[in-house]
Amino acid sequence: MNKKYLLLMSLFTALMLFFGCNAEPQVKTLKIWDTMGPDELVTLQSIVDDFQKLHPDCNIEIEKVPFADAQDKFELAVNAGQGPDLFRCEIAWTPLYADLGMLLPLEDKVEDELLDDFLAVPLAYNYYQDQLWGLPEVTDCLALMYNKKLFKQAKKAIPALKSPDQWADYNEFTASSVLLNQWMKKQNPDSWAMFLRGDPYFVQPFVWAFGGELIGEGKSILIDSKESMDGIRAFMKLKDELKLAPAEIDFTNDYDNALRGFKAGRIAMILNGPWATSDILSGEAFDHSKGGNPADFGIASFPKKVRSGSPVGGHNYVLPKNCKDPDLAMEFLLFLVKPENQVRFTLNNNLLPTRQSSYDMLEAMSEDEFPNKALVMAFKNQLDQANVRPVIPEGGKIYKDFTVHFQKIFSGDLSVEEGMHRVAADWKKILNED
Amino acid sequence: MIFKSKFSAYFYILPASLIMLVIVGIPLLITIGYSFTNVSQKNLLFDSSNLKKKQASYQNSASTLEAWSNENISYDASLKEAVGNAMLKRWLKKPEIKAVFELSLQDRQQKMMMQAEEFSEKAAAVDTQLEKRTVRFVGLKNYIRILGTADKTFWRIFLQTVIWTVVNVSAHFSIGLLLAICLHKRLKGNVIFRTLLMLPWAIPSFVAAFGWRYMYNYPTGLINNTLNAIGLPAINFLGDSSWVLPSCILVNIWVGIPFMMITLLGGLQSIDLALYEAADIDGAGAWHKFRHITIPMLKPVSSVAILLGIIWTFNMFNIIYLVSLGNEAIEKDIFVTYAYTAFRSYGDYSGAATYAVLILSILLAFGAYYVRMLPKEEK
Repeated sequence: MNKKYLLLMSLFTALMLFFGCNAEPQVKTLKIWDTMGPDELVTLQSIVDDFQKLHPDCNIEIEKVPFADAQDKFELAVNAGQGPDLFRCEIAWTPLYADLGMLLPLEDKVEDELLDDFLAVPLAYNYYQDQLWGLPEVTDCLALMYNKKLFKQAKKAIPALKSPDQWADYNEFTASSVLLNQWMKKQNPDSWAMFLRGDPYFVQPFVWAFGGELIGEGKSILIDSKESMDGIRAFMKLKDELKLAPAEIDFTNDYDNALRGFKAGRIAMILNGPWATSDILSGEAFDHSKGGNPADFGIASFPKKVRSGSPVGGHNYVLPKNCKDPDLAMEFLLFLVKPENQVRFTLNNNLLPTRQSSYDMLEAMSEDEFPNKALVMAFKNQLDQANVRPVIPEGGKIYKDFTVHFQKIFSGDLSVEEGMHRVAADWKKILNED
Repeated sequence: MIFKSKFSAYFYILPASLIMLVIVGIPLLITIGYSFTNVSQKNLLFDSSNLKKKQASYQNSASTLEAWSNENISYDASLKEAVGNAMLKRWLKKPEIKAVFELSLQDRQQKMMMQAEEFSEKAAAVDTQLEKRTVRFVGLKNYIRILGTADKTFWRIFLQTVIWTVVNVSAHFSIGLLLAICLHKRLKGNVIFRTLLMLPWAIPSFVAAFGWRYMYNYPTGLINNTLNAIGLPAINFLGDSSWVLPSCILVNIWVGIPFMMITLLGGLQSIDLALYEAADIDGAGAWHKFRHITIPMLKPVSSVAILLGIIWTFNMFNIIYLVSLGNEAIEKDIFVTYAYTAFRSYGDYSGAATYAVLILSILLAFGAYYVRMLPKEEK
């Protein structure tokens, strides 16, 4: 009796196991590692749901990976033969991982006509050594954010003052900023016309505006060129000579300090990207419920000296080399970057799409359908004048060196010339390693 | 009994020691091994298969072009033939290439052979690239690079690490001892005090670090507001490179006191009260009792606690990293944070491994010296 029972049980278990194992391959799974924030993930999930409706035989798992740990996790996993089938890869990481052979080339998997629809600058970060390694999902750039109300009020007192949408060039920007600063100081001695950060990412618009460049063709180092240094000197002049911005800042808290001041209306201008717009609109100066007005939030392109410029950021999706089902991964990726899906991220999360047809769709929408249209289109305008940062695997390293020396320049411990020569010398070492 | 009693003890600890050997010994050996190689992000994570495919593609392109140069192939036919070879296809799609197919046979032969040669050269260049991307034994090169006199970074960081460790541990010990003595007296509300004083230890270090970061904010953090209120100028704690390390030290002192306090309190409670009573009878004052009873009786506990404290503080990564995140000044770095930068930001794995070996050697040498200095009965 007992033996019979045992036999039955084991038979049952064996059958279960057999069918259990057998049933598995029927469903195709796609594992995505994603570094998005919680609000963006909601949008992504809805796109995934739509995809699964079209492909009921697929199971798409989104695994949330914190942005800060993503590189460590990804490198370890891929090196161990594991990892995701699709990875949201920051644009600067893409050439690095392509160089390390950790990605699958997408050549022949994407139609040329489709590639032509992508904006040139975000797409450029997906090419490394003449090969395509990913598709840009979202892009961003820095633009000049300003408080329209402060400009309007100051203009009443000082008619000569011009607001950012009227500036013809960089000189008008400084002239008006000086006037604005004087007026603001009279109202509140704790206020500033602008806030300048100690992170060199935020000095790049100055470098480009003055005709400078970080790294040019063939890995030529241009950060210590006359034009680049002029840009950095102009940056320093704003805070040290013209006293338009705090001369000394806290390098660990400066991002928050800039945002907080701008949101409270104590700072009239900051440089920031589209990711910050939702937060800014919740500030006292711009939120209806806190006595502010969202219409006072203005975005303009960085003023022109010889040109306007801004560093472009964003995220690509790439197929890691251990991708189990490249066809499915590619199919989902192409679905994800469809204009109608990109636009969902714009409407829900104020993110900038990467395709011209997405912008065409947005352009056709009314202000009611798309309340932040003016903001997004202002960023697009800056994006059209943006520059490609060097697409090299050493992006992270050169940036680290730049930061170390730039902060010394910012604090006045190093002259612009000395600091930039040191950066250039370090970069030379890094770029000539192989 | 199969084993003699002496062996049975070893037998019992065998599983634990094997596990220890695996989880401590193997990574340690690998790290030491790495410090003698050129291992880096560039070669350790490198997978050559893409590059080899590319090389094959270059070779294939070169041979196809050579074949084409001898026959009168049309542009469209060549496009069809190039379908499997993305590299060749890309070359064909360049705007100026279509015209090449309309050239006279001799000219196009020349053009195609030139391009074929370029492809072959590129294929050959892959070999040197692959050669550079291999992990090699480099002997003491990493040690010479780091300890060498070319730039004095190592010694600078060494000095900062020593300052960091000495200031922290002496503050931990002196403040911890003071608090332990206060708590040792049986006062009302003792338990509440003890719990409160344990807080810095109980809070996760990243929470503590972020809290302090906001208090240090310049010019409007809690500390600077207080300084302003009492008429002192604000200090740029985390922006001024000479203030960063002291600011981090202060946080770490705050975090590290409870451990020292609790350890010393345990030591105090283990001292036999009869000793104090005997001293009372001899008419000794409070200072004499402290100097001649408390200090010597605490020594076994305190010497171990100090050794532990030094080792922990020497390798304390979290506080500096989290409190000063965003400030890249080298003035804030100690060995562990600097090694992390080498590893994470520069992908210099062998350099980081060399730093790890150096840290281990310094601590081992110091520990051996420290233990030898202890009186015999405490070893």
